[in-house]
Amino acid sequence: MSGPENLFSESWHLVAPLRITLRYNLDVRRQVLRGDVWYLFHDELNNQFYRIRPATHAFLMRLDGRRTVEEVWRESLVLDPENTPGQQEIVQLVAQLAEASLIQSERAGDGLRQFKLRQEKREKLLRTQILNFFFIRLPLFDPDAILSRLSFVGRAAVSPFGALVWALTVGFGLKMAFENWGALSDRTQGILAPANLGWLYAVSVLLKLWHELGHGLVCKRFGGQVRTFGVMFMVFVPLPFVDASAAYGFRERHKRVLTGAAGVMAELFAASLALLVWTKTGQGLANQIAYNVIFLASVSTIVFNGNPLLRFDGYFVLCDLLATPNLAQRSTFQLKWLLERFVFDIPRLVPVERTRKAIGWLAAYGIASGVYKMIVLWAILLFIGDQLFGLGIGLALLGVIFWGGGPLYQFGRYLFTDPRLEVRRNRALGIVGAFVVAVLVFLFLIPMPHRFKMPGVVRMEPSAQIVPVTDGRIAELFSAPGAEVVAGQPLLRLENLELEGKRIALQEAIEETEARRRFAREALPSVLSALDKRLESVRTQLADVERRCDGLVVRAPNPGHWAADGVDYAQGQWVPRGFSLGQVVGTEKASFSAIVSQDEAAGLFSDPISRVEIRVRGQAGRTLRAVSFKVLPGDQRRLPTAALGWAAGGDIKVDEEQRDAATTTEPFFEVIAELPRNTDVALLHLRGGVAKFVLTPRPLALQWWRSLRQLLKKRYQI
Amino acid sequence: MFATPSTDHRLSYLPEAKRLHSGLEGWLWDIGGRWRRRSRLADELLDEAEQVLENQARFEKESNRHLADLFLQLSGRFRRGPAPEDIREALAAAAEVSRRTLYLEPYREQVAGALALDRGCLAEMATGEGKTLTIGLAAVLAGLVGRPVHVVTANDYLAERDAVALKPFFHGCGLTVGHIQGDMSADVRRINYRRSLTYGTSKEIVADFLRDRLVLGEFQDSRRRALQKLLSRPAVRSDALVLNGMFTAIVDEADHVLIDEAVTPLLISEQHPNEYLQAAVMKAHEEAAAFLEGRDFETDPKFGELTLTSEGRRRLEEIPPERCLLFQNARWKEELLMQALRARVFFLRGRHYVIDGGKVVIIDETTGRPAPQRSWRQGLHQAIEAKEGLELSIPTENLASLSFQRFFRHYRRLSGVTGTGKENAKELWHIYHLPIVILPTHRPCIRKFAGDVYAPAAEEKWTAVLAEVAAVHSVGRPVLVGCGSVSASEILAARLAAAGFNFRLLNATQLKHEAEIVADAGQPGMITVATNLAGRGTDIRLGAGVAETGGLHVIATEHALSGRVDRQLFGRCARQGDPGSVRLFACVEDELPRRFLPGWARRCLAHLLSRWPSGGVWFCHRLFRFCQMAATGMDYRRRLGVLRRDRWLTRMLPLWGMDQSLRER
Repeated sequence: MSGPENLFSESWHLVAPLRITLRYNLDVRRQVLRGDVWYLFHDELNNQFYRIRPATHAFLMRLDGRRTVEEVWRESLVLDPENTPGQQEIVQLVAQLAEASLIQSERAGDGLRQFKLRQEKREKLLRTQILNFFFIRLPLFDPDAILSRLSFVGRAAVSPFGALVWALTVGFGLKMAFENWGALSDRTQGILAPANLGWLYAVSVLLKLWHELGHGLVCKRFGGQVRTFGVMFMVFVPLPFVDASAAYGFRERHKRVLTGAAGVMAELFAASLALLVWTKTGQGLANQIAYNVIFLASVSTIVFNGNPLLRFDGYFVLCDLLATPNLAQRSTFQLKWLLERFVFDIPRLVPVERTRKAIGWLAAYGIASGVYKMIVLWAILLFIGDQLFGLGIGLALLGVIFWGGGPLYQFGRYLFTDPRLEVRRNRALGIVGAFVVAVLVFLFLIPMPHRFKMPGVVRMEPSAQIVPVTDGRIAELFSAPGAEVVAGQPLLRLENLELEGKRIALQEAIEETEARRRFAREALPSVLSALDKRLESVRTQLADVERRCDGLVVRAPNPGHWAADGVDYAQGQWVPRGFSLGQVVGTEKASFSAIVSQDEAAGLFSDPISRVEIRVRGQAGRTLRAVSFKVLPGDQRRLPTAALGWAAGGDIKVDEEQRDAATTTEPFFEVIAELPRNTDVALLHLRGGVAKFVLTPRPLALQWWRSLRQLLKKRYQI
Repeated sequence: MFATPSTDHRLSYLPEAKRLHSGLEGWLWDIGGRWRRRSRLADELLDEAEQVLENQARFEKESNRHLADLFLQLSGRFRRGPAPEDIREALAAAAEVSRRTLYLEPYREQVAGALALDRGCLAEMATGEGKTLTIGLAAVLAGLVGRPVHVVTANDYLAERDAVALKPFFHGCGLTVGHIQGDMSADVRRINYRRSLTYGTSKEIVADFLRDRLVLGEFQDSRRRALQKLLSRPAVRSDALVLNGMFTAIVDEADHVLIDEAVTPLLISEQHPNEYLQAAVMKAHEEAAAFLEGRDFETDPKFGELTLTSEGRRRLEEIPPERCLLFQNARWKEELLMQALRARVFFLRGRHYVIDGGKVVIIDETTGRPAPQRSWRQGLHQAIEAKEGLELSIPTENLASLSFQRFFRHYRRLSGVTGTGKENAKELWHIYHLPIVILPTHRPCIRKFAGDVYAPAAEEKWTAVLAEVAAVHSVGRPVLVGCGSVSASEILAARLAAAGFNFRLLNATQLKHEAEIVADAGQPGMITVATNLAGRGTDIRLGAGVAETGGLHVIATEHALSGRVDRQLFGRCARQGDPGSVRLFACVEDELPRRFLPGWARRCLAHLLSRWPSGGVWFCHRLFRFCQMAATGMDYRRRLGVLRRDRWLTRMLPLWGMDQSLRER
């Protein structure tokens, strides 16, 4: 457009004849933010705030309700041309103030409009409430009376003494938390156990009350009004809240910061006390409750309330600390500015921040907060979907539509209809379109490497256990554990005196029986048959004993390497029968047995596996490529070694009821991959490792779709 | 006239503006609109029109007296809310009256058009299809209700012509008719408005409306007036009002009023000396003389933008603020200076304005006509006067302003007729709640479209146009060449003159003979060069023997920004079953591609056109259509933006009096 854009307005005639003034019961305060003076209008009737520039403020102050806007403007023009706003600005300003019901005029007849506006505002509020169904706020009553009665607590808490007590308690709590870190983090696993859920909720309500009490009392202590107490349904869980937004109007920054932080500080205080209780009590209800308090206070502080990336307490505290109100909004504007300035190349933009540093910080905050919000929302959606089953999926989908679709829709509308883009719309549409196409091509057309990793163990073949068939004491070691042996090579000799005795006794029994036989052939031929039988039986026994005696010399069952699991055998050591003396691990063939859980099994069958790479623990730098592999058919439940199971620190869930610690809770597929022979990677039998299954590259979208389906299948059997 | 509270109420009757739906509601509204303007609707209306015409036969034997009685009866029924049979009966009777009084028997399409208007639609009828009678029939239906009917025409001449021509017809239907002319006094206007039907231009009706509203002052609401009357001397006498309430409006050339002119504000203003402004504009003009293009500022003609270079900025800062009051505000100093520069660079005498009697007169860019009543916004007008060394006019301050867009949204029953409107169907539905119905022509249209010619450069285009003119002219056929702008028409005129053609040029200068020249364009051997919109609404009748040689040949020399304007030009020939042909010439350097295609795309197109003409033409055709759609969309968004801003302002500001009653919902 042409002409002075702000100096004159075509709508001026709407405003010029008005005789208006600011509403008499507005509270106006001066605030200094980063060196800039602002005037803050506080409408006490509905607890709303409006921030006004000094020049505008000066103009507004001239409006007295007796003279028209036109007269005031002309006067201001003569007296203070430098700071007088242009007509356009005044039209906008008056409309905005009127929208907020901040101005009054002598004229009647405007009441109807006020009612209509009010009606519309309420409808709009209701609509946003319905759309924002995960966070519904329901005001209940005015907590002023209660807070007034409790004001002595506020006075006590907000004092040097209170600060000291708080600092000592929280400091002590922190110290104990570090000391008991292991125990604390160990117990998180049980926090969502069904038996604890009721307590968890009860504690969270109480803790939230305590948190809100902190806000309320501190706000009251500094002279702010706290007039609303209500219930907030956060993801359908009712929690209390109070409205301490009066703090916004405090002139001093530290008061605003303190009121904002009071909730979190109260929670940390409670958590410190709870930690004391927790460390001093044994198993029991008190201990359980204390743990819940610690958990909730710390998690909610870190993830939600204290975290400035979400719009909770921490955010407002940060806004005050940085003296940048509406930080989130400004960061959005800043990002938009960057986009418009450098990507869309729109001329004559009004910058949000001027210095590079400020721009950087704002943009970084915007991006960080966006990413963090996405993560938290995703987690909440998954959580809801998980907990509420069928309904949960519906809600989660709604959430995706509102939280994901809403901003997308808004961005689309901005792209297509925003008047500011008019001059560069083609460019903007082109760039965004190209970007979208590039992303889509990347996601849908460009095959990306696709892999999954599964644990497993190395197996050497042939390999056999060295198990003596006879008990005995080690009499002689022919070769030491660790040595290379050939098949049948004696490894050690055992000595078993009892067996030796038995053998001698049996030999003598044979001699005796033969002597008797000789005698009987002549004297008593009738007993000959009985003696023959006896002889036979004793001979059998002897053969058995001799075989066992032979077993005293333990031989290598196959060629290979005597692996004795690091055990040294000494002469005279008693070796019971069936005791493993280690293994002779063959070196002819090495394979890797990988355990593929059912979740990942789809990957085994859907896509051709282009190769399997194996890394053996301890030599993770070296990658072995499997020569060939085969999937053992059928569900397996026994792990090749217990070392892979949970019980022994592995990754696979094992059935705790079974004693062997190697039976899994879910069946799995076993993949045997043959390893190459001539490598310098030392392959040790049953050494753990990771098999990486590299699948044929697929576009990412396909991969994601598959894993989403798997996720749903796993969780809901859909 | 004795004013009862109810007549008083009716005289100032002002329904609330139509709702502007947005967001999700807007989508639903859009779906509703698609249903309301479904293509089946025209067939339904035509079927109904058949029935009406069958009914008409029944009345052929009836006496005039009997018909008059019938209309009296019908009027009673219409006041209570007419049943569909009543409407058909009234239309049949009106058709019969038309036959008797005007010697015109309405066609099926005209009756269907009247039915469409009665249903609150926008009827798209090709030019020359007898829109006047269609409107007349619809006006009878509306008039029988007994509420005021405003028929909005394109200009005063047409208002008078139609009102006078149709007078016997309306009388035969038991209705009275009046018309408004620009030079009528308030009393004469009042008399005319009190008739059952009133013909007038939108400008006059809005101006009367605004003046009435200013008279009403704080007593806009009839209830308030009634109370006031009881309490004391009436503050406003309703007989001081000129207009008679806003019930029904039937808009002729609706696309022009409701779309092209939609955001033009009609102002009631008074001159208000503003010594600061005048001084500041003068000073800014003086200072601007030192600024040189290229050194101190750069221009972007595409968007009419101007940016100061760092050198210019330094120079600006050096201007002492003491020079004049407004300069003390640094921002205003810059704005005023930029305005002076813009006045110098972008506003050209002869193209944007002419000087007439020491005054700057704006030229309407679309029509090429001077618009003496218009002025640029505050300051800019003065800046241009300063540039021309004229005496600065006293700035006008608006007392009231209202755009046609906002005004027509207030009518309770709005309908209209247009030659071309389907391109803007969405806008008409969203802003005016008007569904569009496209009615077929009475006789099949035998307009021949010669293939479009696309040239890589303007030079080649003009050569081709000249060759085409020569070819068609040699056969003795009349040729009408439509140009996008006054300057384009002058370029062509110069070339035609150089080639020794005898032709007539129609642009801003020959205003008085406009209708005459256009009407003559159908004579054999005539070459007429005109801007696209000049003489719109005038029928071009073919001269003797022209039909045999192929009728009027229309040459469009560029794609207009809107497909609608193109179609309007094409509609100049082959009316009412006459023969006629059209050929469009366009080039890559025209305004449309220059505004909507990036430079590289234009260079590619030019290459393509010179290397591979057939493919280039195919591609150009689609691309230019796309540009037109983009332009239409952009214009719609702009108008919607204006409306939204007005809406926000009027909803939020603590207004009273007129502005309050015009508040948007």
